[in-house]
Amino acid sequence: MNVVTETLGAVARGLPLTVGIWLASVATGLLAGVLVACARHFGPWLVNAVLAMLVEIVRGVPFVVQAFLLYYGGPFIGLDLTPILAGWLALSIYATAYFSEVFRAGFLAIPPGHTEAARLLGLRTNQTITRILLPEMALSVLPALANLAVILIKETAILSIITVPELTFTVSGVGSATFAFAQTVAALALSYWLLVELTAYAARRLERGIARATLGTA
Amino acid sequence: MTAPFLLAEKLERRVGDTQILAGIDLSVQKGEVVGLIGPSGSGKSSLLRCIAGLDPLTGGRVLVEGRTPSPGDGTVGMVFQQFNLWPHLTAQENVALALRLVRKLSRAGAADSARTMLDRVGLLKFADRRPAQLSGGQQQRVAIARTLAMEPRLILFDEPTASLDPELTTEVLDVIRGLAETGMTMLVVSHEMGFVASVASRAVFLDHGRVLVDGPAKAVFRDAEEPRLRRFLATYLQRVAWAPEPEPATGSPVLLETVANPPGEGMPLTSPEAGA
Repeated sequence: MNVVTETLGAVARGLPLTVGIWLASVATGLLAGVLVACARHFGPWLVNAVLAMLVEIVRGVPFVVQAFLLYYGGPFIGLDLTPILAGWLALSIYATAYFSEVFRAGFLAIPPGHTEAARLLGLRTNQTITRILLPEMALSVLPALANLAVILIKETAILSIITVPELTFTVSGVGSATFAFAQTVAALALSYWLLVELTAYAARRLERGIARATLGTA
Repeated sequence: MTAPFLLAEKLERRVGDTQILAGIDLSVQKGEVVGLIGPSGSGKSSLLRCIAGLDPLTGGRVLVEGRTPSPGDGTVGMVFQQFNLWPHLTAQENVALALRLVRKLSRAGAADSARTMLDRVGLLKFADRRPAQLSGGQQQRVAIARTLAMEPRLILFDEPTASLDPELTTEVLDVIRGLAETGMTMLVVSHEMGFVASVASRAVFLDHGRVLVDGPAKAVFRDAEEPRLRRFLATYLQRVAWAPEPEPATGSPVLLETVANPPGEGMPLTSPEAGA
């Protein structure tokens, strides 16, 4: 079997897991990020202070170190996770910290009067968030969210170090076995780049969709 | 004398070292239209925001029909200087949202009520436009419709025309004037002295967080004796004096005379904007 077919095989084996962990982490990160931002924006100051500190910690430690800590340090606190679960959790926590900051910026960018009007009309805070604030900020936070999603695709490569059999893991395995490092790494780079381009394209489509829905522009 | 509809007692609001409201007493009867005037920073908007419950008081209390209103309980509606329409929703959706979520009307029922309200402010044909596709005056009328739809007992207007040009101001003031005629109890903060003089039954002049003058609107403007109020009104009359005369008097220094005279009978109380 030559290097090309072996590399393609490795891409095919690793890609689903890369995409899977990435999508799962983006989904978790978006959801938890919204919740963290809401708690910080609308909650009591103590909640805000605690969450702010947690976000600072996650942002202050390299992702590779966080992944190590969770996977190798987890068992010491009874958190014995499989590599894939540990990878998803680590990436989700990392994503949550950054996503929450984007949503927080979104909340801050909306004039307080929009919330006050809702409050005086009797809307509850959760209704105000879901029916007014999130749709209102959707278009303006989307580029920053897409930007983060793209960064997260590439952060999945780090999970190879905690033996998650994703793209980097499978493809670099071929490199080590065949010594065709340049070719395999090139294939790896190309794969990530294609994924990123695909994501960017999807984000542009989504942006048009949101613009249609929230601004009424065709 | 019946118990007042709105009773504000010794309202105090202090932020850090700044005294924003320094013991304001105000009682308003049902159906009264009270114009709040005064220089910027005098506490007019703060007073409205405290009555609405948007800003916390550091002293005193507010009673509407004998109860302390809480934001969103349906007693108090507010119209803001910046309209505060939700930009991602159409005019109709802006009006209908609270009807659905708070009043629990069906989608169709809320849409019907919203269209009735938009019709009332003359904007039915713009029901499907978003705020960005409406003029400032139209946006403010949608905001008024949104407030009216919830059937508040008291409406607070916080400089509703301050960000509008003279023509748009007129269309918004006409809507508020119409509301006054229906007997709605209203507090209107405005720099449109002519409007206050003609629509409000009472005028209250604030300065430095205190009520300096409180009386029937016409008396407050005509017999302004309080020195601070006189100075305040004089600056407005100066501006009015620059308006083109309907029938220019030839050769007489009309402008100077107008400025020099204290506000009194025959003075142009309505600003040219209001179409005096």
